[in-house]
Amino acid sequence: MRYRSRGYTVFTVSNTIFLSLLSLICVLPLLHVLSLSFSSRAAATANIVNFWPIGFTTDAYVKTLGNEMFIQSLWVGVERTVIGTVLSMAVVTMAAYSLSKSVHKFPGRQIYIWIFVFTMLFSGGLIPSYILVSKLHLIDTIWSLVLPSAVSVWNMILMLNFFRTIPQELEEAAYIDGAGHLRVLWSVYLPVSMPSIATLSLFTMVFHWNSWFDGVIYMSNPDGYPLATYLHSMIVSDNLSRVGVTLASVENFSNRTVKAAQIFIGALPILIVYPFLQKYFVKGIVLGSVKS
Amino acid sequence: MSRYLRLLTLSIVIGLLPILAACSSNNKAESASSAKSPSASVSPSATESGKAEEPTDPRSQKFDPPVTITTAILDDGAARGNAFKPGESMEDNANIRWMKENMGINVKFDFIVTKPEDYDTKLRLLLSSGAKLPDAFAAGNDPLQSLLAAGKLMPLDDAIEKYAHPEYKKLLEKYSYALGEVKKDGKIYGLPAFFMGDEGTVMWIRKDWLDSLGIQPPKTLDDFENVIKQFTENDPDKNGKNDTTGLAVPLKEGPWTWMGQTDAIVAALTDQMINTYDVRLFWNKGADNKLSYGAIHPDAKLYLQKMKDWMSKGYMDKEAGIKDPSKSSELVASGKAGIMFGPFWMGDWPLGDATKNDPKADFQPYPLPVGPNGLVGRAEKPLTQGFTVFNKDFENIEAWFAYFNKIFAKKLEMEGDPYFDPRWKDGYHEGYDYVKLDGKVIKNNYEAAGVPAEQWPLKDGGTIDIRYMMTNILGNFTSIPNSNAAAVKKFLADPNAEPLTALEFDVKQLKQRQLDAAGVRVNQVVNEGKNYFTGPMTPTMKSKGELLKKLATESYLKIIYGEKPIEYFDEFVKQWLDNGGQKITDEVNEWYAKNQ
Repeated sequence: MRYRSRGYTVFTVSNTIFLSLLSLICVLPLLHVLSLSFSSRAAATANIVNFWPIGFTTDAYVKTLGNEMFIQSLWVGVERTVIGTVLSMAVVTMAAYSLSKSVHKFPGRQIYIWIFVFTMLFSGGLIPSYILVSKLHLIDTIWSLVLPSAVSVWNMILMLNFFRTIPQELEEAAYIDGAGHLRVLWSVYLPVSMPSIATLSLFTMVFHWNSWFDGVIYMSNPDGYPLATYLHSMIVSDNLSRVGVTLASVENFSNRTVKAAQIFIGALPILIVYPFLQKYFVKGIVLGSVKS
Repeated sequence: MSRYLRLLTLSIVIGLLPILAACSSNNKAESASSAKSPSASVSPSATESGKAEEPTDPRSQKFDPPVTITTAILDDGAARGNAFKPGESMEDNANIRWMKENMGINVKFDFIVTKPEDYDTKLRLLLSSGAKLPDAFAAGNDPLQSLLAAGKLMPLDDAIEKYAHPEYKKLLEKYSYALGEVKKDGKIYGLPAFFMGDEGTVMWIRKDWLDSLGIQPPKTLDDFENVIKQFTENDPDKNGKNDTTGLAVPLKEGPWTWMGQTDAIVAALTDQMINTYDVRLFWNKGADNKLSYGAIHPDAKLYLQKMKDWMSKGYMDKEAGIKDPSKSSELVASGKAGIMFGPFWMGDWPLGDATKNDPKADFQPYPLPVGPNGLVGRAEKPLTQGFTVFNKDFENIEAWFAYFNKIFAKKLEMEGDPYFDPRWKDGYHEGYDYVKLDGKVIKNNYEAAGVPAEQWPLKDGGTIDIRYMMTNILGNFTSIPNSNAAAVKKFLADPNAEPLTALEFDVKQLKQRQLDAAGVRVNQVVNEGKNYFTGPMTPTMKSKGELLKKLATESYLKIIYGEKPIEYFDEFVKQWLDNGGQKITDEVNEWYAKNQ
C-alpha cells in the first residue's frame, strides 16, 4: 500500500532529512569524543581533531584501563546502579501497589499520599541529610548512595497511576482463584506493567549512573567514588590562577585524550542498556485481557 | 472540611519536624562547644608547660606512648604520577609505618578527596554538622574564614616559638606579608604553604619564524610590535596563506592569568600591576603608602591603548576575548600564532605539542621586552597556596612539628642542621624514591643505571613521586620560595652535572626547553609586581566582587575591541568606584594600615 501523492513524497523526504539531521546532532558529539580518544596528545592540544582520529593511538585506552582508580570507580558505579535500581523499583512498586487501592480497601490512603508528596516539595537540605546519613553510620558504605534515593516519589506516582488503569476485573479474578496481595502484585500487576517498569527502571538507572555529588559528600575516600564522581573530578578543571602549577598537574590538564576515553567508556554501559529495554517499550497486554 | 484542616495541620507539623530537629542539634553542638572551650583553652598551655623540660635531640624524638594525629588530604589520584607501590595506599605505606615505628606517630585520615572543591565541601559539612574536625589539615579561602570565625582553630604563635625549625621562623618573618588570611587579633592561626614562585612570565617565540623572516628576537616593546606585525602580515610559515597571527593571548580573564598572561606588557608601560578577574589582585602600593587597585589606575590606559591598537591591526588573536588559557594555547600548538607569554613549564605542554604537530615549530623562551621608559617586569604570582591549620582541641602539636621540622630540614639541606635526620640523607625511603647500587644513590632511570629489576621501586622501572607519601599530616607540602634558582643555573651551565640534592634532582627532571625558560626567568632580574593585599575577602568584596570583576573585564574588552573609545576608561573607573569599589578600597586600606 503506497501513497503516491506529491504531498506525501515531499513530506517523506523532508521528514527523513529532518530526522537524519536530528540524529546527526546527537551522534556527532559522541563521534568527536570517540575520535579524540583515539588521537595523539599533540593533535588534541592543537584542537585539530574533528570526526576522525589524527595520529591514531590507543594510548588513552591503555592508560584508562590500566588505571586502578578508574576500574574501581567503574565497579562502584555498576554496583550502585544495580543495587539502587533493584531496591528502588522494589520499594516503588510495592508502595504504588498499596496506594493504588481505593479508599474503601485502604483507609487513610490519602494521608499517606500526602506525606509522600510532601517530601517531593520539601527536602531536609544538604546538611540535615548529611547528619542523618552519618548518624545512621552509612558513611563510606554503598548504602549511603542507594538508600537516600530509594523512594522516588515521582516514579511512585507514575507507577501508581499506571496501576490504577489496570482493570479491577483482573485483580478480582485472581482473588477468586485464592491469590493474596503479594501474589496479585507479582503474578498479575507486574506482568501487565512491563512497559512502565522498563521505563522507570531506565530512569532510575540513568539517575544512579549519573549522580556524582552524593559520592563526594558521603565517601571519605576516593576508593568509594562511583564512576560519575570520579569522572566529574577528572574533567572539571581547577582554577590555576592562585595555585602553584606542578609538572604533574600540567600533565593532567593536557591529557584531553585520556579524558575523552574515560567519558566514552563511562557512557558505554547506559548506551548498551537502551536496546535491551527497547523491546519492553511496547504496549502492554492489558488491552484485550478483559471482555465485558 | 474538617478533613482538609486535619491534613493541613498534619503536613505543617511534618514540615516543621526537620527544622525542629536541626534546631535542637544546633543547640546541642553549641552548648557542647561552649562547655568545652574554657577547659580547652587552658589545657594545651598546661600540657605544653609540663612538657617543656630540656629539649630532646630532634633527630631521635620518639613519642611514647604513641600519639595519633588525624588529618585530611587532597589526593588527585588521576593527576599525579605513581605515588605508591601496588598494594600500598595513602593510608598504608612505607612512610606511615616508618613514622609509627620511629617517631611514635600514628596517622589517620578523616577523609581523602580528589578535588579542591570537594575538599572545601567536606570541610563545610564537618563544620556545619558539628562533627569533629581533623587535628591538622589544609584550609584556604572561604572555609578557612568560616573556621576562623567559628573559633575552631588553634592560635600558633606559642607553638611556632617553641617547636618550629629556626630557619622556618625566619621564612615566616620574611614572607609575613603573605599571612594576612590567617591573622586574627594579632595571632597566627595557620602555617602557609609556600610554593616555589618560579612561574614568572617569560616570552615564548617561534624561533623558526624569526629565522625565516630574518628578524631578531625583540628587546624592546617597539621591537615586539614589529615582530607581531611581521608574524601577522609576512607569512612566517611560508605556506602562501594569510593564516597566522602574532600573539596568542587569552583575554577572557583579563591581563593576568595562569598562562598566556600579558603582565609583561603592563609592566613595560607602567609600574602598576593589573588584573581584572579577581578583586583581590592586584593591589599596588602608592607613594603615600596607600593601596590602590591596579585595574582602575590611569596608567592602565597605556596598556589598553597598546592592546586596542594591536587588536585593530590584527596582530593578536581576534577571538582572544572569549578564550581561556587552555583554549588560547590551541593557537600556538596548531602553528597559527608565533608568540605566547607564560611560565617556564609551557616548554612541554602546550608548546612541545606544537613541535609534534609540525617538526619545524621551535618555540624558544626569551627575556621580556623593555618599555619606552626603560620599564620591564612581570607579576608575582601570590606565593601562598592555602594554609595548614590545627583543631583547637589538638593536643599533640609538638609531635606535628617534630615531623614537620624533619621534612623541612630535608628540603633545606643545610649543613650542620640539628634537625636534619641522617636516616634521610640519601632520600626518604630506600626502595621508594631511591635505590642504592654499590653504595651509589640512584633516583631515576633505574634500568639505564644497571639496577637489577628486583630492586626497582616499580615493576615497570618508573619512579615514585614520594611527595604524596610524605605529605600526610602536613596538609601541604611546602616549598621554599625561589630555592631552585641555584639548581637551574647549575644545570644550565652543565646539563650533565650530577644532581646532589633532592631539589637538584627535581630540576634535572625538566625538559630542556623548560630548563632554558627557567634560566631565562632567573637571569632576567626584574621588578615583580606584588599584590600587597593578602588579607581575607572583605565584606564588600564578597558582596560586590563578582559584579566588579565582570564590570572590569568587560570594560577592558570593550576598549580593546574598539567598541568604546579609550575615554570610556574614565567612565568605567567611576562606575567601578560607585558600585562598591570605593568601599573595597577603604576596607583594603584599613586592613593594610593594621597589618603592614
